[in-house]
Order: sequence, then C-alpha cells, then structure tokens
Amino acid sequence: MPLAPQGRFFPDTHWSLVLVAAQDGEPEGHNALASLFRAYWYPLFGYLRGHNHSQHDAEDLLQAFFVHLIENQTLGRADRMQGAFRGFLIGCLKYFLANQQEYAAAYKRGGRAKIVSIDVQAGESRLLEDTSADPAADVERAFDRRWARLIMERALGELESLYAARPEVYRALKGFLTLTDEARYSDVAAALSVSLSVVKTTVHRMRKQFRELLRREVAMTVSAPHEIDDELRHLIQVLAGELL
Amino acid sequence: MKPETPERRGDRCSSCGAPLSTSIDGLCGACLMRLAMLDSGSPEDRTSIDQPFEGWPSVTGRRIGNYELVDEIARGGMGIVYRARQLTAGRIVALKVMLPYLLHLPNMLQRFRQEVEAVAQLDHVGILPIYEVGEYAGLPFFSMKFADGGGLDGRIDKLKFAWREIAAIMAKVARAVEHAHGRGVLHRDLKPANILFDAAGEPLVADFGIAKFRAHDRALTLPASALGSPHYMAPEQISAQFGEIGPASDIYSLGAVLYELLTGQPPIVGDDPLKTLHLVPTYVPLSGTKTSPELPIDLDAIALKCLAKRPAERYASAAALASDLERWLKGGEVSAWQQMRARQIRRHVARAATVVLVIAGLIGAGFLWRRLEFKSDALAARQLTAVPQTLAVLAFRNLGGNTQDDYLTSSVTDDLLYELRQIRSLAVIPFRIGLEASGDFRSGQLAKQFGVNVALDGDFTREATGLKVRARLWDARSGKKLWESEFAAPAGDLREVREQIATTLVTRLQIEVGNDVREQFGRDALTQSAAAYDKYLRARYLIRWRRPETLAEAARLLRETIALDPKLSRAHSALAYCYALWIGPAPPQGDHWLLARDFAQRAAALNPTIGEPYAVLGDAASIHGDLVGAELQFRKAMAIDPNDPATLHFYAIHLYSVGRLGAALNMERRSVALDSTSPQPMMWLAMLTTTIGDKDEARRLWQKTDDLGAARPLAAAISRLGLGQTEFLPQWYPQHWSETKIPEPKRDTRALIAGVLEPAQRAAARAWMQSIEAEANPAFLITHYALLGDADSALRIAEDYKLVDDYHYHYQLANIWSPQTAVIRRDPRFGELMQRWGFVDYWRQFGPADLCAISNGSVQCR
Repeated sequence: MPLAPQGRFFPDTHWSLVLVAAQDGEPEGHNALASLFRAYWYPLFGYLRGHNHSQHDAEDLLQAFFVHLIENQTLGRADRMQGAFRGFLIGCLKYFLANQQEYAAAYKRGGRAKIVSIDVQAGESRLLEDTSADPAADVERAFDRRWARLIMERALGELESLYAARPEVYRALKGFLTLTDEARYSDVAAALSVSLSVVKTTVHRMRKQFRELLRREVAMTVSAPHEIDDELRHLIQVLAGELL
Repeated sequence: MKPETPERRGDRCSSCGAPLSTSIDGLCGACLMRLAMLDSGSPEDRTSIDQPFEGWPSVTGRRIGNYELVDEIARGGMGIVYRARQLTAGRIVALKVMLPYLLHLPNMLQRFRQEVEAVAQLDHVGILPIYEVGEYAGLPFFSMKFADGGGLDGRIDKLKFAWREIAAIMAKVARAVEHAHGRGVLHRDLKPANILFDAAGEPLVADFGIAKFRAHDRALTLPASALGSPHYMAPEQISAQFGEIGPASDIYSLGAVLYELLTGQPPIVGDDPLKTLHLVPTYVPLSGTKTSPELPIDLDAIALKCLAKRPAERYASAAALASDLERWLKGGEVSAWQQMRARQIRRHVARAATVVLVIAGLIGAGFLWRRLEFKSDALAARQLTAVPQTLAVLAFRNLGGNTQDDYLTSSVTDDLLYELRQIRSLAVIPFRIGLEASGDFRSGQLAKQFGVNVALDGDFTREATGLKVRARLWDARSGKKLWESEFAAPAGDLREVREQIATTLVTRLQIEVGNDVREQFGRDALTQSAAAYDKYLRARYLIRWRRPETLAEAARLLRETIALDPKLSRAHSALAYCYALWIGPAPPQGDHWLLARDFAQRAAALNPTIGEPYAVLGDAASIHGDLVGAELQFRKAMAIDPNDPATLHFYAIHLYSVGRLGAALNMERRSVALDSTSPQPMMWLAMLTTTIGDKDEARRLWQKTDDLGAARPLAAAISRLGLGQTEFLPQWYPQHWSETKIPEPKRDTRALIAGVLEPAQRAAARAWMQSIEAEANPAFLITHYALLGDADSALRIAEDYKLVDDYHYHYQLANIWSPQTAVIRRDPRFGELMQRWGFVDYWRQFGPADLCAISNGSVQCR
C-alpha cells in the first residue's frame, strides 16, 4: 500500500474548510479530514520519531493528535487557518505535544481507537531509508523536507499516471524534467526509435504538465491562491538545503 | 526506490548545487520544485526565491497571472476576491479566484468556463461586467469591474425608512435580473452582498450563476459551513418537493432582500444557518408591517408575494416584479394584492389538477425505425397522471429462443432505468422478476408490495433485419393494459430501441421532464458508438452472474467499450462494479479493489448523478476497514438511487460485517425483492437469515441460492452449519484452498471438519489449525478457532490482524456474528478488538451491532 494515496485520490476539500466541517461534527467533514490526514501524516510521524518517541507511541500520538484536531475548537479560529497546511499541522502538533499528557490520557480513556487508518510500519521502513541519507539532525527541518518530498512525490505520481499507457516513455524522459543537457536527447530518441523533435516536444510537454500538477498539489495545501508561490519558494529553499 | 541518478556530482545537484539527499526518484527536488515557479509571472521569480522567507506577508504586490494584487476584499465558501491591478489594461479590477477545493468537483473547470462565458455575454447597466476569464495554477478566475460603492449589505441600516429609495434600487436590480433571465442565466445566489454600487451609486448585480456550482455539488463535498447564508434561498433550492430551480427562485431571493431592506431582518432567521435552512420550506414569514407599522403595506405585499413557497405563486417574471415596484413609485396600484387573494382560491384548484405537460416534438421526424401502435387507451393513461408515478420496469423476455440474445432481457431495460430515474416526478423500480414470473404485476402484487402504479414489460425477437421489440405498459392495480407498442431496431444498434422506449414512455405517461433529461434520451446522448453500446450491454448482463469467468469476460468487454468511448460513465461504473465483485485469479491490471475504486472515481467524476460508483466506493472502503467512510459512501449512493439492487446488496454486506444484522436483513430483502435472479444477494440473504436463526426460511433461501448456482465461498458453508447442513464442508474447502498459500500436504481438512462437528475431536482440529497458522488467512483462523470454541487463539490472531486489503474479510468475518462463534463475542477481550478495528467508532456514529451494547465506554456482546 502506498504511503500517501496517489494523486487521483485527492483530498476532496480545501484544508481549512475540512477542519471546520470536521469540528462541526459533520460526518463528511470527519471523513474528509481523515483523508487529508492520511495523505500528509508521514512527515508528522517522522517528527515524532525524531523526538525519540517509539514507533508504537508515535502511532498512538498520531491517532490522539487526529482526535485533538477534530475536538479542539480553538484550532478552527480563522486567524489560525491562514497560510499553509504544513505550518498549521506542525504548529498544532507542537502544541499538542506540550500538552500531551492530558490528551494521551483522554485518548487512552477512549480505548486507543484507531480513528484514522495509517500504516506506520510502512512509514517506519521509509524513515529508515530516508534518514540514512540525511546528515542533519534538526527534526524540524527534516519535517519540512519530508513534507516537500511528499508533495513532490504526489505530483510525480500524478505525472507518471498520465504516462501510464507508455511507462517506458516516462522512465526514459523523466530525467530531463530537471536536466537541460539537450545533447542527451539524441540517445533517448535512438533508444525509443523516435525522432529528436518528438523527444524535445514530449520533454517540453512533460515539464509543463509537471509544473501544473505540482502547483495544483501545492494549491491543495494553502488557504488562498496567492499563497501558492510563497509555499513553493519555501519548499524550494528547503530542498535546496538553504534552510538547513 | 533507488534508481539511476544521472545528475549526481558528488553529493550535490549539478544544476543548482542542492544536496542530493533531498532528491526524489533520482531527480533533484529543488530543481523540480523550481519548475513550478517558471512562467508564473515576472522574471524576478527566479531571484526572489533566494530571499529569506518569513511568515505570511500581506497580499499586496503579489501576482496572479496578469494581475497585481492590492488587497483581499472578501473570502467566501466558493472563492476569494481581491482588489487587483490588471497590468495590461492598467485599471483596478475585482479579481475572483476559485478556492482550490472546487477543482476536485466533477467537471468543475468545464462547467465553470461554460457558465462564466454565458455570464460574460450579459450586457446591462445593472449587471457588474466581467472583463476576463482565465486560469491560475489550475484555478479558474475572472476579473470584474471594481464597484467603488461597496455592497448593499453595508447600506441596510442607512436605507432604513427610505422606502422610495429601496423600491427604486430593487426595481433596477429586478430589471437587471430580468435581462439575465431573458438570456437563460439564473443568478441563484442573490443577496445584499451580491448587489454592489458603482461610484455614482447605481446598483450592479454581481456573481451571476456562480452559485450553480455550489448548489449542485453541496451534497457531494461541501460542509454546511461553506454553504453561505441561507436567508435568501428559495424553498426549491433546498428541497426538490417545491419543484425545479428557475427564474422564480431568483424572484424569491429578490423578495428576501426587499423584505430585509424594509424590516431590517431577513424573512426567515434561525438560530444558525443550518436551522434557517430547515425553516425555509415551512416557515411563513410575518408581514413586515407587524414589526414596522410605518412600512407601506403595498411594498410589504410585494415582498411577500415574492416569498411564496410555491414558485408558481410568485411573480411570473422579474420584469413583473420590477413593474410593480415602478408602479408603486409612480403612485399606482400594485398587482401583488389582488393576486394574493386570487391565489388562495386557486391553490385548491391547483391541487386537484396537477399540471401536465406533454412533451411535444419528442416523437419527431427522423426515426429510422417504424412504430406500430396496437392499442392505446389515452383515457386510462390520463387517469394515471397523478404525480409522482411509481413505475416498475420488468425484464423483457427473449422469444427468439437464441441464448446469444439473453443479454437483452434485462440490459435494455436496466439501461433505460438510468435515464428514467433522472425524472424526479417518477419513482422507478427495476424488477428482474420478469424473467421467472411474468405477469406477476397483474395480480396486483407489485401494487401492494411496492406501491407501483404502472409497470412496463415486453419481449423481443431477433429477425434477419434487426431486432423487434414489443413493450407494454400496465396499470399495476387493475391489471389493465394501457398501451402496447412495437419497435424495430436496425441490426447492431440497440440505442434506437432504448431511445424509443424512453420517449414513448415519457409521452405516454405524460411526465413533465426538463430539457436536460430529454436530451439524455437522445440516440447519441449516451454514446456515439453502436458497437460500444452493444459491448456495454453484454458486459452488464455478464456481470450479473458473478462468476469468475463471466466477470473476466465482462471486464474485457468493458475495457473495449471504454476504448471505443472513454466518456461513457456507465461503462466506467460497470467496470468498477465488475472489479468490486471480482472472484477468481487477480486481474492482469492489478489489485481488483484498487481498480474498482479507480474506475468508480472516474465514473463519479464523469457523471455524479448515478449511484452505483458510490456503492462500489463504499464496498471498497468497507473491505479496507474504513467503516465510517464506507457508510457515508453508501448513504450517498442510497440518496441518489434507493432502488438499485446492487447498492442495496453491497450496503447489506457492509451492515452485516459491522454486526447490524437487522438493518442488513432489511437491505438484502429489498435487494432480492427487486432482483431475485442474482445469486450472490440470495446467498447473503440466506446467510443473514441463518444467522438470525429463522431456520425454515433459511433452508428455503439456501435452496434458492443453490438453484441459482451461486459461487460457494467457505463462509457460506460455515453459515450452513447452523442448519445442520454439514455435507457442504468437505466440498467447499478445496475451493477455498485455491485462494490461499497453504501447501498441498497441509490441505487435508478431515481433522478440522471432525473438530467442527464433534466437540471430542476439537483438540486434534486445533493442532491441525496450528500447523497451518503461518500460511492461512487470519480471517479464516479467527472464525475457525471460534468455531472450535478456542477464544484465546481466535483473539490472539485477531490481535495482530488489520482490516486492510484483505479480500476474505467480508466473507470470513461476517461469521463472527453467527451463533456458532458466540464464544469469542462473549470474551471480554472482544470489546477491545472491536475498539481496535474501528467498529466501536462506527457504532457510536451509526448505531451499535444488534448483539452488542456499549455502556460506560466498554462493549458487551452476546
């Protein structure tokens, strides 16, 4: 099972509306928030593990945190819901951790129900792969980086599904998304038995498609259209290592 | 996931120098992310990314396409409005950008464009002009004239007692609305905030038609909190019982705005938006003169006339409203009064004779086939026009005797149902009992049991030139034939027949239908490919048999159908259904549940008015242990189509698995009543009946199940233990083994069967169970340990079991509710298990299992 649902299983609704609806006790809202949470829980999990919570505890904390999101009405205040879902989530999680005794107790009283289904085992294996390549010990930066990668992976997954009918084209050309070395186009054209111009056009189109998909992916995690570019800039800095 | 990384140069990206520890799938993450910034505006985007980013600075100066934002003016459930400078034109405009979530509503972009383009055509001094329509990051936007004078909502207090000014503003607004109505554009969301003023103080109506998207999809995705204010919504916008949304809905809203201007309060005010919403259909607003004695009674009467619950009792047009207001301004007599009096008398008359509209032009020129009328009883048909009608459609009989054509028996009518169900005044119930019991309806059975008042049945024969279909319409109560028609379709194009039966039915029943529904009957409305339609019908028929080979063949046909016509929503839906029912070897394309979910989502996106995809999504969610999500999907499916046997069946299985046995039984009974020819629903009904202990009925149902040749999962055999029908066990295990990893030598189940049947043999059976524990399906182990009375082992297995991606979950775990497995239910640990599996959470929201009770947070089952 993939960690994050593939792009076509988008969260239905804008995140702040989802949160308000869930807090209003609307089943639809609850459901939508759960699907949003399932899409983006992994960086939170990494954050908890980075703070030395055991895998088991991290899972419990995530479940309890989800309940906290639904039940804590003050989170639904409009001023808190401006900006990126990323910042909102990590901010809430920190607050939650500072007060976790209380919440954890409530969660245990509630029978430690699995409110939202997440596969922490898969998260754990991914974390192992991930941190091996991660020299920085800063847990918060790691959170942002995992978030950025998740967004990117969702967009790449979408892009790949656009090429589902010709996976070999995707495999051969995806490298050119970031690579401007046009000298290599002819190798690929030869390998795929198409003309050079076809490769050029396809790469150009693929870049455009990816740009669009990525922007939409980011659009889902901000509260207003004008925030898209800001969020993108932030994520670029994160990935470029400038904020390390 | 460590593919080749062509760009690696040390640990840094060769293009941008970012550390490659952040690479994704071999690609530099920072480079990828930068791609999204290109072309998004000005060249400085490349440099500005290097500036440190802090917090969320103000909107000012940011760019959206060709617009530079000045500030944010308003934010609603639907869009965000900025004051912005249009750089190409150098003017200040209002820029409305859709909120991101709307992207995910079906066909949103396309519908938005169509609608906004229609609105952009409007040219009237009282309508806020739209300058440009575009898209940004996939989000549609449009720019409008910036109205300096603010909204009417900000002027309500100032206008108090200024009766003439109020009448003058509302007359102008009504004229503007009339202009739009004349061009086929409804506003749908008239409210003070949407009536703006220009610098000269002239009113401008804004946001025409935009609310359509919100209204249409509110059931689908939107939380009530995003619905906006319901104070100005007409009853028909809330409940279909008041009729269609139309120009009269806007007239209602104008009345509500007028009422608020006159009295300072909207006509209907609840404690919160939701309560207001509930009040609209029933609460009759007080005359404004009761609270404001100084209010001119003529204006009061005008507002109240607009606010009539029934659209027909309001002004006939926005122009008529404008004229009345203008007459009042000139000191003349308003029409509202006399019409209000006349209305009270007419209301009684109107109830007696329902308005009937015969669709002229439906039987038009250009039919390629001939239609012969044998008999028509126009009088009888007219007597049946009390709306709503309940129509039963029975499967047609194959008189030709060629089994190759059997797929036509139910397929043509099944398909017809999709359209007929769109007719709101007509309740359509599909029956497949026609296959086995023709003429049942004449005995009045349908009339009595389902309240059916008319029934359609028929037969067909294949001839050299094509297909001859004879259809008959019956009065279900009297058994009287109302009409009989014969249709001839050219060979190979069944769409003709479908269209003809539909149009004839609609005409004969004298049902009032809108253009949108009428268009759906059209020959090419469904698909332009006759071959696609034929394949689709064949696949539908095959799916009903629910055998590995028929499902595989149906999936093949449907994939071909989709290749021929990728937009045929029903083919996507049918394929989803097919994969949801999948049994046998895994389909080559991948996991059948994921395929089912995928195609269901595509079908729902292509056509949100069919219920089947939601039922499939519900089933997929239920299988994956998302019980709450499943319930919501099923409710959605039921809301769209409460009489679909497949939806009822899937829902029943879901309810069964969560232990809501009574509810499950009701659903499955309805499903089988509507379609007594499908083997699987019959089998589940038999299982449920066995579980609740009605043994005689259960034996009868198992006999029927066997007669229908249902596939025989082991779970069904176990269920039959309760009836003492033990002979099935040895026969059914081998079939089960073929779906597990248990190696050949261990498949000898004699010890297990002996243990299940004889308490003295249980120890040996348990030993055998332990020997296969590593390979066996956990659901199998849980139910079988329970059958052997070993609650400890059952719960030990259950401890680590996750309700995820387990195909056997339904079939096997339904048995945790059977009388034979009570031993685990009585164990105190069972309650904890139910908590962990999310059952308790589900029960709290939707009602507990019949065998369980929740008290003080703990669960007790029996």
